[in-house]
Amino acid sequence: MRDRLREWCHRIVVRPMIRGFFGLRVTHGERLPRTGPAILVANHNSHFDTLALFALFSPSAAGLLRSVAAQDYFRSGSLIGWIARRLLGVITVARAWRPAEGDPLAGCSAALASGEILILYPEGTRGTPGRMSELKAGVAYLARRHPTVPVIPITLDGVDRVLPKGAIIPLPLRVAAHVGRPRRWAGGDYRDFMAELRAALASAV
Amino acid sequence: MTIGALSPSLVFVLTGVFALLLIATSTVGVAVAATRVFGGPTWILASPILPELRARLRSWWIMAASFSVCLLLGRAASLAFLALVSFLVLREYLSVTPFHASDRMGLFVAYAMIPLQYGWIARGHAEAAAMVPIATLAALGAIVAMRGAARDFLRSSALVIWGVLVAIVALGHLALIVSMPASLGYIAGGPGLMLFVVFVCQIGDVAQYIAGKSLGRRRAVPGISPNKTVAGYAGGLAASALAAALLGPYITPMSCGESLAIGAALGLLGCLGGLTISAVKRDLGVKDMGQLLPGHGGALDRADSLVFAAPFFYHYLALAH
Repeated sequence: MRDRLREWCHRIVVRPMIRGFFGLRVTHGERLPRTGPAILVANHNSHFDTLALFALFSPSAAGLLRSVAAQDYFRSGSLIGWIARRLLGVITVARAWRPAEGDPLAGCSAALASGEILILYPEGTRGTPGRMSELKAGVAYLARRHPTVPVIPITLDGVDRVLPKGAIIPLPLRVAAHVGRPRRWAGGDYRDFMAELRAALASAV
Repeated sequence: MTIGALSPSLVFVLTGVFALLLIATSTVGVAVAATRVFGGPTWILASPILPELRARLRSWWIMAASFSVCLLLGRAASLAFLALVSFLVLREYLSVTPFHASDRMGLFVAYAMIPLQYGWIARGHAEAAAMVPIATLAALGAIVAMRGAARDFLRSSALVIWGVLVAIVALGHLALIVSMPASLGYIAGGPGLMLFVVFVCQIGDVAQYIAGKSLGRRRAVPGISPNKTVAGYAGGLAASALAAALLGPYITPMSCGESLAIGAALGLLGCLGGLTISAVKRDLGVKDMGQLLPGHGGALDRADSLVFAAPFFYHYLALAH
């Protein structure tokens, strides 16, 4: 579902701020999906990553974006949690899965089913700039469950210099985003799928 | 005719700039169309510089239009425009410079110098440009003192100072030039002087590009700027001097002969500015500073010829007139 508030927040704040004030250089922007469902997979070094990914899209497509984050970080009830959920469309996922809670990826599946675009950071947490950590398996499970949905690797470069881990004020510096070839689940082992994604993300770092 | 804050002579020169652009754009357009329709020489369509030439011309239109609008809106708008140019140049320089995480505070200092300098200039404090590098050093000194570790201080502060000098102090002289008062019998004032120095430097760059592409063979400084030829530099210098001699008596307080000499000096300093920024880019391993202006590269790739020329022109005018 297109979210109007998210769309206008993107049009007035996110896109002008990231594209105008910070600067964004995109290679292969034509590979970005114009509509959902789709899964975007990116390397994660900074809280700024999600804003940079949002700025890649037009306001109408940005209304479809949902980023997936750890439940413990964006607690419901907190201001950060509200901003994340309402303005960045965050879907929270538990870090550790407990059988009693049912399907941990149900929120992601529902979003894809309603034609939204998911943002996943399969490294799980913000890693070391310039190095890809091992990927978590969730992205492969999602791709297997939705084999028609394209998975698009996006490599972000320079975001960790804008807002490194632990910093509060972002520094205006240009960010580069390289959009990789979209791929779909084609059977086989989920470990191979993740290795391929990881290679695609790391090749442009 | 007087438009806004501009004198008639200035409006006339600006009209001339757009006329030049119109001629250049239509020449390229007609050459391409005629080749397509009448089957002229195929090298025109196959030429690898054709897309670049078109991108360059498109960027020129946008640059000329925004520059003219700012001159038209008066001094405050011109200062805001120059502050924006400083910001873009500094941002693209810092984006390609190898910084350590511990240098982060120093980069904020560099950005903070933009409102400081332009704020001072707006309030009529012409010495602002001399004060900014020293203020930067003082702030960097305070940061290193608070950190209590001197390792790599000279290296990291040199990177910051370079950015501040080029993006803020050197280009900031254009703000000093546009703020110069119109003296007796010379009505174009600061805007005329800024238009003069920008036009003379940019026409030198254009001539350098054309002469270098069409008749240049011998490379001037292959170790720094492999595309620059001796013929290119000669053409650029001649164009700068000629343009200055034509415009000088009209929109500056200088005589024709004086303008010719100053134009040659500006052309020479323009080449030096281009070479210096090229050396920085070579050292950093980047081809362009950015891609803000399609066909040209980044803002600094377009403004590099003004880095030394603008301060020279300001001080020449301040001393000799």
